Amino acid sequence: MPLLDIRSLDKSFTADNKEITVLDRLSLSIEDRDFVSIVGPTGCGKSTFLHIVGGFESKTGGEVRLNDRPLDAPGPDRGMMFQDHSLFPWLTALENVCWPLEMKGLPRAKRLEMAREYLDLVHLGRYADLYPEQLSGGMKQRAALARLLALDPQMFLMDEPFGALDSQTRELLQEELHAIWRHRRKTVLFVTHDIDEAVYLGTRLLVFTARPGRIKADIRIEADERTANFRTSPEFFKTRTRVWDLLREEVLKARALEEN
Amino acid sequence: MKEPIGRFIARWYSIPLLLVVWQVAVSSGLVQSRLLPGPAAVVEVLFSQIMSGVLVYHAAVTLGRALSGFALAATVGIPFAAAMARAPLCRNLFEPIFFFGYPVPKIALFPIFTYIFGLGTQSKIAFTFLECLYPIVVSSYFGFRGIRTRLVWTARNFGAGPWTVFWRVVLPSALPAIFSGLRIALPVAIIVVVLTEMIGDSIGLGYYITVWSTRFTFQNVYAAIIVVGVCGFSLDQILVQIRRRFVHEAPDAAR
Repeated sequence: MPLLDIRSLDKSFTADNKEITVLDRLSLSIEDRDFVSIVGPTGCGKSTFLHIVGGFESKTGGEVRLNDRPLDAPGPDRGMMFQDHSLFPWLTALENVCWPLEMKGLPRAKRLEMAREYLDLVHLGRYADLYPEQLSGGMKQRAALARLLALDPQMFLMDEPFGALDSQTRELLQEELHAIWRHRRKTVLFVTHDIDEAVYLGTRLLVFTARPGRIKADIRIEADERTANFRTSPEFFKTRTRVWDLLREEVLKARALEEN
Repeated sequence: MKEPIGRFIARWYSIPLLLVVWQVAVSSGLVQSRLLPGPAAVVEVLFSQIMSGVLVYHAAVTLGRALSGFALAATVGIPFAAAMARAPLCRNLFEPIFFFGYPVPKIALFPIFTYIFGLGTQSKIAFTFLECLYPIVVSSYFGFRGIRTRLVWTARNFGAGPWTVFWRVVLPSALPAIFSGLRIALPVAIIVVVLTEMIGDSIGLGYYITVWSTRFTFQNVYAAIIVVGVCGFSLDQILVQIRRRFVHEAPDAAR
Protein backbone atom coordinates (compact mmCIF):
# COMPACT_ATOMS: atom_id res chain seq x y z
CA MET A 1 0.00 0.00 0.00
CA PRO A 2 1.42 3.39 -0.93
CA LEU A 3 2.01 6.01 1.74
CA LEU A 4 0.28 8.75 -0.24
CA ASP A 5 -2.44 7.90 -2.72
CA ILE A 6 -3.92 10.58 -4.95
CA ARG A 7 -6.84 9.86 -7.28
CA SER A 8 -7.98 12.29 -9.99
CA LEU A 9 -7.25 15.37 -7.94
CA ASP A 10 -8.80 18.55 -9.34
CA LYS A 11 -8.15 22.10 -8.29
CA SER A 12 -9.64 25.17 -9.89
CA PHE A 13 -10.45 28.66 -8.77
CA THR A 14 -12.13 31.72 -10.18
CA ALA A 15 -10.21 34.88 -10.90
CA ASP A 16 -11.56 37.87 -12.85
CA ASN A 17 -14.72 35.86 -13.66
CA LYS A 18 -12.62 33.21 -15.37
CA GLU A 19 -12.44 29.65 -14.20
CA ILE A 20 -8.83 28.58 -13.99
CA THR A 21 -8.01 24.89 -13.72
CA VAL A 22 -4.76 24.47 -11.85
CA LEU A 23 -4.69 20.71 -11.44
CA ASP A 24 -6.55 18.39 -13.76
CA ARG A 25 -7.36 14.80 -12.74
CA LEU A 26 -3.99 14.21 -11.21
CA SER A 27 -3.36 10.67 -10.02
CA LEU A 28 -0.26 9.56 -8.22
CA SER A 29 0.99 7.06 -5.65
CA ILE A 30 4.01 7.70 -3.51
CA GLU A 31 5.80 4.99 -1.60
CA ASP A 32 7.26 5.36 1.82
CA ARG A 33 10.87 6.62 1.83
CA ASP A 34 10.75 7.95 -1.71
CA PHE A 35 12.38 11.24 -2.50
CA VAL A 36 10.11 12.72 -5.13
CA SER A 37 11.40 15.74 -7.00
CA ILE A 38 8.78 17.76 -8.82
CA VAL A 39 9.70 20.09 -11.67
CA GLY A 40 7.42 22.02 -13.95
CA PRO A 41 7.01 25.41 -15.58
CA THR A 42 5.98 28.41 -13.50
CA GLY A 43 2.28 28.38 -12.64
CA CYS A 44 1.81 24.67 -13.35
CA GLY A 45 0.24 24.06 -9.96
CA LYS A 46 3.13 22.22 -8.31
CA SER A 47 3.08 24.50 -5.26
CA THR A 48 -0.71 24.24 -5.07
CA PHE A 49 -0.32 20.46 -5.22
CA LEU A 50 2.03 20.59 -2.24
CA HIS A 51 -0.32 22.91 -0.32
CA ILE A 52 -3.21 20.48 -0.88
CA VAL A 53 -1.15 17.54 0.38
CA GLY A 54 -0.21 19.72 3.35
CA GLY A 55 -3.90 20.34 4.03
CA PHE A 56 -3.52 24.13 3.73
CA GLU A 57 -5.55 24.54 0.55
CA SER A 58 -8.79 22.78 -0.31
CA LYS A 59 -9.20 20.57 -3.35
CA THR A 60 -12.01 20.94 -5.88
CA GLY A 61 -12.41 17.24 -6.52
CA GLY A 62 -10.77 13.84 -6.24
CA GLU A 63 -9.23 12.03 -3.34
CA VAL A 64 -6.06 12.34 -1.32
CA ARG A 65 -5.27 9.56 1.15
CA LEU A 66 -2.35 9.34 3.50
CA ASN A 67 -1.75 5.99 5.21
CA ASP A 68 -5.13 5.02 3.74
CA ARG A 69 -6.96 7.81 5.55
CA PRO A 70 -8.56 10.75 3.72
CA LEU A 71 -6.62 13.94 4.25
CA ASP A 72 -8.13 17.41 4.50
CA ALA A 73 -6.42 19.35 7.27
CA PRO A 74 -2.84 20.20 8.21
CA GLY A 75 -1.19 17.87 10.68
CA PRO A 76 2.19 17.09 12.19
CA ASP A 77 2.47 13.92 10.09
CA ARG A 78 3.42 16.17 7.16
CA GLY A 79 5.91 18.99 7.58
CA MET A 80 5.95 21.94 5.22
CA MET A 81 8.99 24.03 4.38
CA PHE A 82 8.67 27.14 2.26
CA GLN A 83 11.08 29.08 0.09
CA ASP A 84 10.80 32.02 2.47
CA HIS A 85 11.88 30.23 5.66
CA SER A 86 8.65 31.19 7.55
CA LEU A 87 10.44 31.37 10.86
CA PHE A 88 8.57 33.38 13.49
CA PRO A 89 10.45 36.69 13.54
CA TRP A 90 9.74 37.36 17.23
CA LEU A 91 11.29 34.06 18.30
CA THR A 92 14.98 33.14 18.32
CA ALA A 93 16.22 30.24 16.22
CA LEU A 94 16.12 28.06 19.33
CA GLU A 95 12.59 29.13 20.27
CA ASN A 96 11.46 28.49 16.71
CA VAL A 97 12.78 24.93 16.87
CA CYS A 98 11.25 24.46 20.33
CA TRP A 99 7.71 25.22 19.27
CA PRO A 100 6.84 21.93 17.50
CA LEU A 101 8.40 20.07 20.44
CA GLU A 102 6.17 22.03 22.80
CA MET A 103 3.12 21.12 20.73
CA LYS A 104 4.09 17.48 21.22
CA GLY A 105 3.87 18.04 24.96
CA LEU A 106 7.53 17.61 25.81
CA PRO A 107 8.72 19.17 29.09
CA ARG A 108 10.70 22.39 28.81
CA ALA A 109 14.14 21.03 29.66
CA LYS A 110 13.76 18.19 27.17
CA ARG A 111 12.57 20.61 24.47
CA LEU A 112 15.59 22.84 24.87
CA GLU A 113 17.97 19.92 24.84
CA MET A 114 16.45 18.44 21.68
CA ALA A 115 16.19 21.80 19.92
CA ARG A 116 19.89 22.38 20.53
CA GLU A 117 20.67 18.96 19.06
CA TYR A 118 18.70 19.76 15.91
CA LEU A 119 20.40 23.10 15.54
CA ASP A 120 23.79 21.42 15.97
CA LEU A 121 22.82 18.95 13.29
CA VAL A 122 22.34 21.77 10.77
CA HIS A 123 25.49 23.57 12.04
CA LEU A 124 23.59 26.39 13.70
CA GLY A 125 24.39 25.57 17.33
CA ARG A 126 26.35 28.78 17.79
CA TYR A 127 23.53 30.93 16.47
CA ALA A 128 20.73 29.45 18.59
CA ASP A 129 19.92 32.72 20.33
CA LEU A 130 19.81 34.93 17.27
CA TYR A 131 16.58 36.17 15.71
CA PRO A 132 15.74 35.23 12.11
CA GLU A 133 16.58 38.68 10.73
CA GLN A 134 20.08 38.36 12.17
CA LEU A 135 20.69 35.17 10.18
CA SER A 136 21.83 34.92 6.55
CA GLY A 137 19.55 33.35 3.93
CA GLY A 138 21.25 29.98 4.19
CA MET A 139 21.18 30.03 7.99
CA LYS A 140 17.46 30.83 7.98
CA GLN A 141 16.75 27.82 5.78
CA ARG A 142 18.94 25.69 8.06
CA ALA A 143 16.92 26.86 11.06
CA ALA A 144 13.70 26.06 9.20
CA LEU A 145 15.13 22.62 8.40
CA ALA A 146 16.00 22.09 12.08
CA ARG A 147 12.43 23.04 12.98
CA LEU A 148 11.12 20.56 10.42
CA LEU A 149 13.31 17.86 11.98
CA ALA A 150 11.94 18.78 15.40
CA LEU A 151 8.40 18.35 14.11
CA ASP A 152 9.62 14.96 12.84
CA PRO A 153 6.85 14.33 10.30
CA GLN A 154 6.62 11.18 8.25
CA MET A 155 6.60 13.27 5.12
CA PHE A 156 8.56 16.42 4.21
CA LEU A 157 6.78 18.81 1.87
CA MET A 158 9.38 21.20 0.51
CA ASP A 159 8.46 24.10 -1.77
CA GLU A 160 11.68 25.35 -3.37
CA PRO A 161 13.37 25.47 0.01
CA PHE A 162 16.76 26.43 -1.45
CA GLY A 163 15.42 28.58 -4.28
CA ALA A 164 16.57 31.89 -2.88
CA LEU A 165 20.09 30.81 -1.93
CA ASP A 166 23.41 31.27 -3.70
CA SER A 167 24.69 28.21 -5.54
CA GLN A 168 27.41 27.23 -3.04
CA THR A 169 25.12 27.38 -0.01
CA ARG A 170 22.57 25.56 -2.06
CA GLU A 171 24.82 22.61 -2.93
CA LEU A 172 25.90 22.24 0.67
CA LEU A 173 22.31 22.23 1.87
CA GLN A 174 21.37 19.71 -0.79
CA GLU A 175 24.05 17.37 0.52
CA GLU A 176 22.87 17.89 4.09
CA LEU A 177 19.26 17.25 3.14
CA HIS A 178 20.27 14.12 1.27
CA ALA A 179 22.14 12.82 4.34
CA ILE A 180 19.15 13.60 6.58
CA TRP A 181 16.78 11.83 4.21
CA ARG A 182 19.04 8.77 4.09
CA HIS A 183 19.55 8.50 7.81
CA ARG A 184 16.10 9.38 9.00
CA ARG A 185 14.26 7.50 6.32
CA LYS A 186 11.71 10.13 5.43
CA THR A 187 9.45 10.54 2.44
CA VAL A 188 10.03 13.82 0.66
CA LEU A 189 8.01 15.79 -1.89
CA PHE A 190 10.41 18.37 -3.20
CA VAL A 191 9.29 21.11 -5.60
CA THR A 192 12.07 22.92 -7.43
CA HIS A 193 12.90 24.96 -10.52
CA ASP A 194 16.42 23.62 -10.60
CA ILE A 195 16.77 20.46 -12.70
CA ASP A 196 20.22 19.63 -11.29
CA GLU A 197 18.82 19.80 -7.78
CA ALA A 198 15.85 17.63 -8.77
CA VAL A 199 18.06 14.96 -10.32
CA TYR A 200 20.69 15.04 -7.58
CA LEU A 201 18.18 14.59 -4.75
CA GLY A 202 15.33 12.58 -6.23
CA THR A 203 14.83 8.85 -6.38
CA ARG A 204 11.83 9.68 -8.46
CA LEU A 205 11.28 12.72 -10.61
CA LEU A 206 7.93 14.06 -11.78
CA VAL A 207 7.67 16.51 -14.64
CA PHE A 208 4.47 18.55 -14.53
CA THR A 209 2.84 19.93 -17.67
CA ALA A 210 1.97 23.60 -18.14
CA ARG A 211 -1.36 24.60 -16.62
CA PRO A 212 -3.60 22.69 -16.06
CA GLY A 213 -1.03 20.60 -14.23
CA ARG A 214 -0.79 16.92 -15.10
CA ILE A 215 2.08 14.52 -14.83
CA LYS A 216 3.99 14.48 -18.09
CA ALA A 217 6.75 12.09 -17.05
CA ASP A 218 7.54 9.94 -14.06
CA ILE A 219 11.21 9.01 -13.97
CA ARG A 220 13.04 6.69 -11.57
CA ILE A 221 16.59 7.66 -10.76
CA GLU A 222 18.58 4.68 -9.62
CA ALA A 223 21.66 5.77 -7.80
CA ASP A 224 22.04 4.76 -4.25
CA GLU A 225 24.31 7.20 -2.62
CA ARG A 226 24.53 10.73 -3.94
CA THR A 227 28.13 11.68 -3.53
CA ALA A 228 29.69 14.67 -5.24
CA ASN A 229 30.71 12.21 -7.97
CA PHE A 230 27.09 11.63 -8.86
CA ARG A 231 26.86 15.18 -10.11
CA THR A 232 29.46 14.45 -12.78
CA SER A 233 28.35 10.92 -13.71
CA PRO A 234 27.01 10.06 -17.20
CA GLU A 235 23.81 8.87 -15.54
CA PHE A 236 23.29 12.32 -14.05
CA PHE A 237 23.78 14.08 -17.38
CA LYS A 238 21.60 11.61 -19.25
CA THR A 239 18.70 12.18 -16.85
CA ARG A 240 19.28 15.89 -16.73
CA THR A 241 19.14 16.18 -20.54
CA ARG A 242 16.04 14.04 -20.72
CA VAL A 243 14.24 16.10 -18.09
CA TRP A 244 15.17 19.35 -19.75
CA ASP A 245 13.87 18.12 -23.13
CA LEU A 246 10.57 17.25 -21.51
CA LEU A 247 10.39 20.42 -19.52
CA ARG A 248 11.41 22.76 -22.33
CA GLU A 249 8.26 22.00 -24.29
CA GLU A 250 6.12 22.77 -21.24
CA VAL A 251 7.97 25.95 -20.41
CA LEU A 252 7.29 27.20 -23.94
CA LYS A 253 3.62 26.28 -23.56
CA ALA A 254 3.46 28.08 -20.24
CA ARG A 255 5.00 31.13 -21.83
CA ALA A 256 2.43 31.10 -24.63
CA LEU A 257 -0.27 30.80 -21.95
CA GLU A 258 1.09 33.83 -20.16
CA GLU A 259 1.26 35.91 -23.34
CA ASN A 260 -2.38 35.25 -24.24
CA MET B 1 19.43 52.49 31.37
CA LYS B 2 22.56 54.61 31.51
CA GLU B 3 23.43 56.99 28.74
CA PRO B 4 26.83 58.51 28.23
CA ILE B 5 26.75 62.18 29.21
CA GLY B 6 27.49 63.33 25.65
CA ARG B 7 24.47 61.58 24.25
CA PHE B 8 22.32 62.89 27.08
CA ILE B 9 23.29 66.45 26.18
CA ALA B 10 22.74 65.83 22.47
CA ARG B 11 19.25 64.59 23.23
CA TRP B 12 18.06 67.26 25.64
CA TYR B 13 19.94 70.49 24.92
CA SER B 14 17.02 71.87 22.92
CA ILE B 15 15.00 72.47 26.09
CA PRO B 16 17.39 74.88 27.90
CA LEU B 17 18.00 76.48 24.50
CA LEU B 18 14.29 77.14 24.14
CA LEU B 19 14.18 78.66 27.63
CA VAL B 20 17.06 80.99 26.74
CA VAL B 21 15.42 82.09 23.46
CA TRP B 22 12.16 82.61 25.35
CA GLN B 23 13.83 84.76 28.03
CA VAL B 24 15.69 86.82 25.41
CA ALA B 25 12.51 87.39 23.40
CA VAL B 26 10.69 88.64 26.49
CA SER B 27 13.54 90.75 27.96
CA SER B 28 14.27 92.44 24.63
CA GLY B 29 10.62 93.45 24.33
CA LEU B 30 10.24 91.43 21.11
CA VAL B 31 6.99 90.00 22.47
CA GLN B 32 4.63 91.59 24.96
CA SER B 33 5.36 90.20 28.40
CA ARG B 34 1.66 90.51 29.12
CA LEU B 35 0.87 87.82 26.50
CA LEU B 36 4.02 85.82 27.05
CA PRO B 37 5.55 86.23 30.50
CA GLY B 38 9.18 85.26 30.85
CA PRO B 39 10.14 81.70 31.82
CA ALA B 40 11.10 82.77 35.34
CA ALA B 41 7.62 84.15 36.04
CA VAL B 42 5.96 81.06 34.59
CA VAL B 43 8.18 78.65 36.51
CA GLU B 44 7.49 80.54 39.72
CA VAL B 45 3.73 80.20 39.25
CA LEU B 46 4.18 76.59 38.19
CA PHE B 47 5.98 75.77 41.43
CA SER B 48 3.64 77.63 43.74
CA GLN B 49 0.57 76.10 42.06
CA ILE B 50 2.06 72.63 42.28
CA MET B 51 3.09 73.07 45.91
CA SER B 52 -0.35 74.38 46.85
CA GLY B 53 -1.80 71.29 45.17
CA VAL B 54 -4.06 73.21 42.81
CA LEU B 55 -2.37 72.13 39.58
CA VAL B 56 -1.83 68.63 40.94
CA TYR B 57 -5.55 68.31 41.56
CA HIS B 58 -6.60 69.56 38.13
CA ALA B 59 -3.92 67.47 36.42
CA ALA B 60 -5.10 64.37 38.28
CA VAL B 61 -8.66 65.02 37.11
CA THR B 62 -7.61 65.48 33.49
CA LEU B 63 -5.24 62.51 33.47
CA GLY B 64 -7.79 60.25 35.12
CA ARG B 65 -10.34 61.10 32.46
CA ALA B 66 -7.88 60.80 29.59
CA LEU B 67 -6.54 57.45 30.76
CA SER B 68 -10.04 56.06 31.41
CA GLY B 69 -11.22 57.00 27.92
CA PHE B 70 -8.00 55.73 26.39
CA ALA B 71 -8.10 52.41 28.27
CA LEU B 72 -11.74 51.93 27.34
CA ALA B 73 -10.97 52.61 23.68
CA ALA B 74 -8.08 50.13 23.74
CA THR B 75 -10.15 47.46 25.49
CA VAL B 76 -12.97 47.77 23.01
CA GLY B 77 -10.97 48.78 19.94
CA ILE B 78 -8.32 46.05 19.76
CA PRO B 79 -10.73 43.08 19.92
CA PHE B 80 -13.08 44.92 17.58
CA ALA B 81 -10.26 45.44 15.07
CA ALA B 82 -9.29 41.77 15.37
CA ALA B 83 -12.87 40.68 14.73
CA MET B 84 -13.23 43.00 11.73
CA ALA B 85 -9.96 41.85 10.24
CA ARG B 86 -10.36 38.12 10.80
CA ALA B 87 -14.12 37.52 10.44
CA PRO B 88 -15.65 38.47 7.05
CA LEU B 89 -19.13 38.62 8.56
CA CYS B 90 -18.00 41.18 11.10
CA ARG B 91 -16.05 43.12 8.48
CA ASN B 92 -19.02 43.41 6.11
CA LEU B 93 -21.28 44.45 8.94
CA PHE B 94 -19.11 47.11 10.55
CA GLU B 95 -16.48 48.35 8.09
CA PRO B 96 -18.72 50.79 6.13
CA ILE B 97 -20.35 52.20 9.26
CA PHE B 98 -17.08 52.52 11.07
CA PHE B 99 -15.20 54.30 8.29
CA PHE B 100 -18.18 56.57 7.69
CA GLY B 101 -17.75 57.89 11.21
CA TYR B 102 -13.99 58.38 10.85
CA PRO B 103 -13.92 61.93 9.39
CA VAL B 104 -16.81 63.18 11.52
CA PRO B 105 -15.54 65.47 14.27
CA LYS B 106 -16.87 63.79 17.38
CA ILE B 107 -17.10 67.19 19.07
CA ALA B 108 -20.19 67.80 16.89
CA LEU B 109 -21.93 65.48 19.30
CA PHE B 110 -21.10 67.73 22.27
CA PRO B 111 -24.66 68.90 22.98
CA ILE B 112 -26.05 65.39 22.68
CA PHE B 113 -23.37 63.86 24.87
CA THR B 114 -23.86 66.59 27.43
CA TYR B 115 -27.54 65.82 27.43
CA ILE B 116 -26.92 62.12 27.96
CA PHE B 117 -23.87 62.13 30.22
CA GLY B 118 -23.99 65.58 31.79
CA LEU B 119 -21.11 68.06 31.93
CA GLY B 120 -18.93 66.01 34.24
CA THR B 121 -16.46 63.19 33.96
CA GLN B 122 -18.75 60.78 32.11
CA SER B 123 -19.16 62.89 28.99
CA LYS B 124 -15.40 63.63 28.93
CA ILE B 125 -14.63 59.91 29.02
CA ALA B 126 -17.23 59.22 26.34
CA PHE B 127 -15.63 61.79 24.02
CA THR B 128 -12.14 60.53 24.70
CA PHE B 129 -13.28 56.98 24.06
CA LEU B 130 -14.75 57.89 20.68
CA GLU B 131 -11.78 59.96 19.52
CA CYS B 132 -9.24 57.34 20.64
CA LEU B 133 -11.23 54.47 19.20
CA TYR B 134 -10.53 55.47 15.61
CA PRO B 135 -6.73 55.57 15.56
CA ILE B 136 -6.57 52.40 17.66
CA VAL B 137 -9.02 50.45 15.52
CA VAL B 138 -7.68 51.65 12.15
CA SER B 139 -4.07 50.87 12.99
CA SER B 140 -4.82 47.55 14.69
CA TYR B 141 -7.14 46.56 11.85
CA PHE B 142 -4.36 46.85 9.29
CA GLY B 143 -2.04 45.05 11.69
CA PHE B 144 -4.45 42.14 11.99
CA ARG B 145 -5.01 42.05 8.23
CA GLY B 146 -1.36 42.04 7.21
CA ILE B 147 -0.48 38.68 8.68
CA ARG B 148 1.67 36.35 6.63
CA THR B 149 -0.43 33.33 5.72
CA ARG B 150 2.62 31.10 5.77
CA LEU B 151 3.22 31.78 9.45
CA VAL B 152 -0.36 30.77 10.20
CA TRP B 153 0.08 27.66 8.06
CA THR B 154 3.30 26.79 9.83
CA ALA B 155 1.61 26.96 13.24
CA ARG B 156 -1.32 24.87 12.01
CA ASN B 157 1.21 22.43 10.62
CA PHE B 158 2.53 21.95 14.17
CA GLY B 159 -1.01 21.08 15.23
CA ALA B 160 -1.98 24.48 16.65
CA GLY B 161 -5.71 25.17 16.96
CA PRO B 162 -7.40 28.52 16.22
CA TRP B 163 -6.75 29.95 19.70
CA THR B 164 -3.10 29.02 19.74
CA VAL B 165 -2.75 30.50 16.25
CA PHE B 166 -4.39 33.71 17.45
CA TRP B 167 -2.34 34.15 20.61
CA ARG B 168 0.98 33.00 19.23
CA VAL B 169 0.95 34.08 15.58
CA VAL B 170 -1.79 36.61 14.84
CA LEU B 171 -1.40 38.77 17.94
CA PRO B 172 2.43 38.99 17.92
CA SER B 173 2.29 39.83 14.18
CA ALA B 174 -0.20 42.62 14.79
CA LEU B 175 1.41 44.06 17.94
CA PRO B 176 3.68 46.65 16.27
CA ALA B 177 0.67 48.14 14.43
CA ILE B 178 -1.46 48.01 17.61
CA PHE B 179 1.19 49.96 19.50
CA SER B 180 1.41 52.53 16.69
CA GLY B 181 -2.32 53.08 17.09
CA LEU B 182 -2.01 53.41 20.86
CA ARG B 183 0.79 55.92 20.51
CA ILE B 184 -1.32 58.07 18.19
CA ALA B 185 -4.36 57.79 20.45
CA LEU B 186 -2.68 58.67 23.75
CA PRO B 187 -2.01 62.38 23.04
CA VAL B 188 -5.42 62.56 21.35
CA ALA B 189 -6.96 61.49 24.67
CA ILE B 190 -5.26 64.35 26.50
CA ILE B 191 -6.17 66.88 23.82
CA VAL B 192 -9.83 65.85 23.82
CA VAL B 193 -10.14 66.01 27.60
CA VAL B 194 -8.48 69.42 27.87
CA LEU B 195 -10.58 70.74 25.00
CA THR B 196 -13.90 69.53 26.39
CA GLU B 197 -12.95 70.82 29.82
CA MET B 198 -12.33 74.21 28.23
CA ILE B 199 -15.82 74.19 26.72
CA GLY B 200 -17.62 73.34 29.89
CA ASP B 201 -16.49 72.12 33.27
CA SER B 202 -15.48 73.31 36.71
CA ILE B 203 -12.46 71.05 37.21
CA GLY B 204 -9.53 69.82 35.12
CA LEU B 205 -6.62 71.51 33.38
CA GLY B 206 -8.86 72.72 30.53
CA TYR B 207 -11.08 74.52 33.01
CA TYR B 208 -7.99 75.96 34.74
CA ILE B 209 -6.66 77.30 31.43
CA THR B 210 -9.99 78.94 30.55
CA VAL B 211 -10.41 80.57 33.94
CA TRP B 212 -6.95 82.15 33.99
CA SER B 213 -7.24 83.20 30.33
CA THR B 214 -10.37 85.18 31.06
CA ARG B 215 -8.46 86.89 33.89
CA PHE B 216 -5.57 87.66 31.49
CA THR B 217 -3.20 85.96 33.96
CA PHE B 218 -1.19 84.16 31.36
CA GLN B 219 1.61 82.84 33.56
CA ASN B 220 -0.97 80.44 35.05
CA VAL B 221 -2.12 79.46 31.56
CA TYR B 222 1.45 78.65 30.52
CA ALA B 223 2.05 76.76 33.75
CA ALA B 224 -0.97 74.55 32.97
CA ILE B 225 0.18 74.10 29.37
CA ILE B 226 3.57 72.94 30.63
CA VAL B 227 1.83 70.44 32.91
CA VAL B 228 -0.20 69.12 29.96
CA GLY B 229 2.97 68.74 27.89
CA VAL B 230 4.93 67.01 30.64
CA CYS B 231 2.05 64.61 31.33
CA GLY B 232 1.68 63.73 27.65
CA PHE B 233 5.39 63.26 27.19
CA SER B 234 5.71 61.04 30.27
CA LEU B 235 2.76 58.86 29.29
CA ASP B 236 4.22 58.41 25.81
CA GLN B 237 7.55 57.35 27.31
CA ILE B 238 5.78 54.84 29.52
CA LEU B 239 4.01 53.47 26.46
CA VAL B 240 7.34 53.18 24.63
CA GLN B 241 8.73 51.17 27.54
CA ILE B 242 5.71 48.87 27.55
CA ARG B 243 6.07 48.43 23.80
CA ARG B 244 9.71 47.48 24.22
CA ARG B 245 8.65 44.83 26.70
CA PHE B 246 6.10 43.19 24.40
CA VAL B 247 7.16 43.87 20.84
CA HIS B 248 10.14 42.08 19.45
CA GLU B 249 12.60 44.36 17.74
CA ALA B 250 15.78 43.23 16.11
CA PRO B 251 18.68 44.27 18.31
CA ASP B 252 20.32 46.11 15.41
CA ALA B 253 17.11 47.45 13.86
CA ALA B 254 16.85 51.23 13.55
CA ARG B 255 14.66 52.77 16.20
